[in-house]
Amino acid sequence: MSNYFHAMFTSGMKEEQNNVINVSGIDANIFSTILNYLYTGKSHLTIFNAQDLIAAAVYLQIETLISLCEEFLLSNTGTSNCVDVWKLGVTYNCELLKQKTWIYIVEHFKSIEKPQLLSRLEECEVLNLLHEDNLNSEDEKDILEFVLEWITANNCEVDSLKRLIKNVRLPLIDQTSLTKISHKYEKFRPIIKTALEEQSNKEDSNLNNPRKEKAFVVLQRTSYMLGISVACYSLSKKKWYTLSSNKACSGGTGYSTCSRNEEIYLSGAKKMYKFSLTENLWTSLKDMINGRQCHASGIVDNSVYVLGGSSSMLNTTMHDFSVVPSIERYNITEDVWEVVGEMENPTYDSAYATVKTKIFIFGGAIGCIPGVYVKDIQCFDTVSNTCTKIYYNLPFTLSLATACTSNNDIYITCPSGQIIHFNEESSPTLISNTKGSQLMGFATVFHDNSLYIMGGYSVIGETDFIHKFDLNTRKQIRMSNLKLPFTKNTNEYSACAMHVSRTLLSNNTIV
Amino acid sequence: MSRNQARKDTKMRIRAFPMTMDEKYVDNIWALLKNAIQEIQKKNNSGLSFEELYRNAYTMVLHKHGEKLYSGLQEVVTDHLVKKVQVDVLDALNNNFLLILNSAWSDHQTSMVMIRDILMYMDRVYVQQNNVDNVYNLGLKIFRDEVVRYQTINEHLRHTLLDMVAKERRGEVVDRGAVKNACQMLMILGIETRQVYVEDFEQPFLSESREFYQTESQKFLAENSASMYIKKVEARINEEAERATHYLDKTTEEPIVKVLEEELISKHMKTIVEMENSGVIHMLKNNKTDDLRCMYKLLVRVPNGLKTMCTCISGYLREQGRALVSEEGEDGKNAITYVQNLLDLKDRFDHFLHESFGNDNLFKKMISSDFEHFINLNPKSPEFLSLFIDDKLKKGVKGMTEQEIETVLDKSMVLFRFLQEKDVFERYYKQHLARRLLLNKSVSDDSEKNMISKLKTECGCQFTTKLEGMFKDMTVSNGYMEEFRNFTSQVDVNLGGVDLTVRVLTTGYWPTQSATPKCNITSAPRAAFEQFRRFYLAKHSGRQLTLQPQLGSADLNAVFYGMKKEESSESVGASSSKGPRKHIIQVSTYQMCVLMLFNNRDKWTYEEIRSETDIPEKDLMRAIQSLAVGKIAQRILHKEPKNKEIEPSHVFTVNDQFTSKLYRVKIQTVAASKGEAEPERKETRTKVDEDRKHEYPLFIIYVFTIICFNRSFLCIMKKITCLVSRKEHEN
Repeated sequence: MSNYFHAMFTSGMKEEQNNVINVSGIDANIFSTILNYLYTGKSHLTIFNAQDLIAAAVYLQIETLISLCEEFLLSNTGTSNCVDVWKLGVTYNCELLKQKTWIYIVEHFKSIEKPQLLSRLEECEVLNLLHEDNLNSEDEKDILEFVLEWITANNCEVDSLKRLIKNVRLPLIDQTSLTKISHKYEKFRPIIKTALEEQSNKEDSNLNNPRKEKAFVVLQRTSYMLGISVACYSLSKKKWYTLSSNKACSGGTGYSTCSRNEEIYLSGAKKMYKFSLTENLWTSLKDMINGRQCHASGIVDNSVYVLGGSSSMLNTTMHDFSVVPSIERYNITEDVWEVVGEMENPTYDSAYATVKTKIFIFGGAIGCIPGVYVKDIQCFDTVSNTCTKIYYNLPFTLSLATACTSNNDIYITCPSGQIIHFNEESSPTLISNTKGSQLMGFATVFHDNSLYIMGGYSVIGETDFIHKFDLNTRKQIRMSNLKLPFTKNTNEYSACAMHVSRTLLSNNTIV
Repeated sequence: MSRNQARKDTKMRIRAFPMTMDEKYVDNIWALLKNAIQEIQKKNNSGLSFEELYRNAYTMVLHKHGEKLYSGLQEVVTDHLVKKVQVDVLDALNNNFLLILNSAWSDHQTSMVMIRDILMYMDRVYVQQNNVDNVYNLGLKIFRDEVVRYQTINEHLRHTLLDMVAKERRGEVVDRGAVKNACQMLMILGIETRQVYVEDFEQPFLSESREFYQTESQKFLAENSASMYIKKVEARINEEAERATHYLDKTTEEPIVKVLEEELISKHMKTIVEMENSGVIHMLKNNKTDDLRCMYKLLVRVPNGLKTMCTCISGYLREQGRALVSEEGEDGKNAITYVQNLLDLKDRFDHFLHESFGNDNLFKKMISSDFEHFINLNPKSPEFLSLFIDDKLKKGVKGMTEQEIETVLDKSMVLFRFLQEKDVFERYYKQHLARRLLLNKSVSDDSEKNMISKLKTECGCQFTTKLEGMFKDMTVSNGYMEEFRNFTSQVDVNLGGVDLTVRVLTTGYWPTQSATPKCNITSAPRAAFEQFRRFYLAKHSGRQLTLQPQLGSADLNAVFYGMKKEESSESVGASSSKGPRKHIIQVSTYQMCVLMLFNNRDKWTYEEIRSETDIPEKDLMRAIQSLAVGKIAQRILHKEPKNKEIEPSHVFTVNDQFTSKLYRVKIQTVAASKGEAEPERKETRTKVDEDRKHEYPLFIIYVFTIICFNRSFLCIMKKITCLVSRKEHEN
């Protein structure tokens, strides 16, 4: 468990012989908590001992306890302490803590309590923040003001400002605000002026583009009708916007989507489309080799994978529910498909999610009898190109569910309303057992430690509500002020949270 | 939004921790750690406190003095390795060098493990954040640069190792353990790459080995024996592979074996393969299966190795094959021997293939393409093969079991696959099958059908429809004959004592001459046949039957009254003491017609026979040859003058002194199993060519007759088999 003790007892030094060892530098209470953890596996973390516990766990090099502390700290991170928690992660070199809190800082930049930002960050750290394209701020002028405040608060030299201001997107700030700020920070006026001139001369610079903001991108399709509509919900403006629709797409009832950065790949029948958020544009790509519906898909590195699915709807004979076993890979740069393997147990109507280099397939139907579903989890490893069943006969129905991910964690929302958590380290566990009506065609998105469950239809009707499931409190609420912006027409949705350029959101508002 | 609500009352606060530390204090801590590291290097570790050292290192890193600690460590380790270890090893250059180096290496490893442990916190935090080598690897790099790659040591190490290998190759015993340790050390010093081992040992080792084996291959070649060479090379390869796995690094096995393969095999394979009196051809000639296997195993290792061997074997095989197919004896080769020789050759090479070449595909293909090459050199191959099969399927031969026949047929099929002119084969096969069926000579229907199904598998059903049609005709004809016999017995039709058997053959299925030859069939059998014709046409109006005399046969009852002795013909009329001898003579329809003439008159000239019977010249000549100048035991006719030639004026009489041990005498028609005579062969070819132009025409039926009758003097009872052909008048 502890590399420290292991090394100590095999060191060939005093401790190997002595029966009594003095461990100094750790508070007795904390040490007792750790001993307790080592013997029972229970960590007894509180917001009061978490900092000391992670310090001690790092000192004693108990990796499992470090992970527990990281998770605990993360779940207690907010706008009042995120910079401190991030610093803690840096000090003890805890990767997960560092990464996640940094993302938190970037995403919540505008609401973080100022004193933290001003007093804790060092110059290079401020610089890193300014480099973030997704730095969450309504207006670039706020960022300029932050930089100037930081310089003032830390009594920095002018050179620091010169280095930092290069990364503030000055051309985006309107003249009035700029004049006002320059007025306020009179002594920095020449520096701001020079920087603005320099930036204006660089035409192709990224500095002319506004920073992006997080938004939900929702794809909607109506059964048996051509076309896919796209809407985007700005979390900051709390408004829906229309994006380009794909009128030609006839992906059938069961298209499959996967996304990365600012691209969504949609496949169904033989077709494959790319929706680029930066260009707000649909492109038709090369046809896949074996057509399929209701299949799984995922992106790893530079490739889109499509797995399994049914070929039934392709030839409109409703009784033929044949399963396509193959797994195909689409190389994005070369625009070519190739068959790379077969599913161990070919399925369709499965939920699917991608984590790192692995694509997980949850449940699904296997044969010609509608309504018969497996309760397995299969994993396709894109490194070895092998598909293996990793769980059999689970006590949940995973089919027709949708899955979304947050780092290594996968959350599967079942038609029944049950929510299941799964990652490679831990077996699938039920985290919410709310029984609802048997919904289908809904979408789920992970955002800010919550799952957003959007739309869906069942035998009794269709909903355009969005429910939010808070992973901390494990409570589900219906969003009072948020509804899907589509007419009810047995819609099927897929959705993801993405960073969207603010320019894209300036027009096409849906009321 | 809701996040803040969820956490409203419980905000977690993180305390700031002091980041500054008194410089002097830091120096003290470092002095303590440095001293400890030096003690560890001196193996005085038992008095140290792990807890204290770890805590001190932790404190330094936590308070941002990681760099001081890291560079300090680098210095202390370098210092020790340069001032102590390097010196010790250099001192030992000429005395126990490897042992001293190995023990220095092992001490270094031990101390670095301890140092790594007390600095473990630095590895976790400082090393990762700054992306530098971890403590242990840092130690490896310093050891590599200051000790192993210190020039004098480096050169000496390489020489020592290479020298030890060279000694062992000469048969001396060396300390394998020391070599193994040194190689392992070089591998570890590469830190997850093989680089150090490759540069400092493997490359020089490989190039020295190459030189060594260049010389050695010349020595081996000088002995001038391919099989000895192969055995030595095999032994050397095993030896080097074993050396690599046992005391070098096992990754060296592949490259060193490759060096050997290049030097000992690739460069000399042509020489070895073609070595006179010991190379491949020698081995083939002397059936040296084991040697060939060894050679195969050796050559399969190198690129183009098998090709080299194959080319040589192929040359030999083609030479052998060509000799077999082109040996045109005076009378043409006997078909059976011809095919048997080919089969034997195939067996021989198949044996090599299984026993020596591990059924290697390349060899398999080579054998096939070679056979295909030479078997088609001789245009008679299709005919001979068909004859060979005919011989195996004919009744009354060499007492083979069905199983044996099956095996032979399978082998024949292999040759069949090599034939390019499969249609020519089909043509002959049809002829031979017809002969077997019509003359009732097949050993068994099962074997025949078996063979046809083999052909079907090989060439598809189109190829065999006609052959199967022939079988069908036979069955249907049996039905007709049954009905006909019933009919004759009921209606009391007079067949003039002739026992008639007719085979109705469908045109197109059966081989026939382009035009039905003329022949005046003697009245009695003709009358019997006319009965059948009437019977048949009554059942199937609109069909046409044509008699095919060239395919018929007859059994004749004959009585010979002459002396048994082979005296002169004048004594024919003299009284005979023993009385008449009865025989049944089996002849062709043509011969029947000829013999029946002698019922009317004693003497006939050739010209008279010809004009009387109207049999085509060629057929008549052959029929008479068999009767008059064939085997002594078959000479029913007596010819004047007594020579082999037959001319129009020559006179024939019945050979009254004819004797035979057998009651039933079969008159062999000349030129049976020796294949077709040249003109017929040409005709067959023309037909094949025609067939190639347009596949199968109309619907004609042939009828076969067997006629039976008897008479006085020669008193010939005939069983005649004739051919009748019938045309369907289609609307």
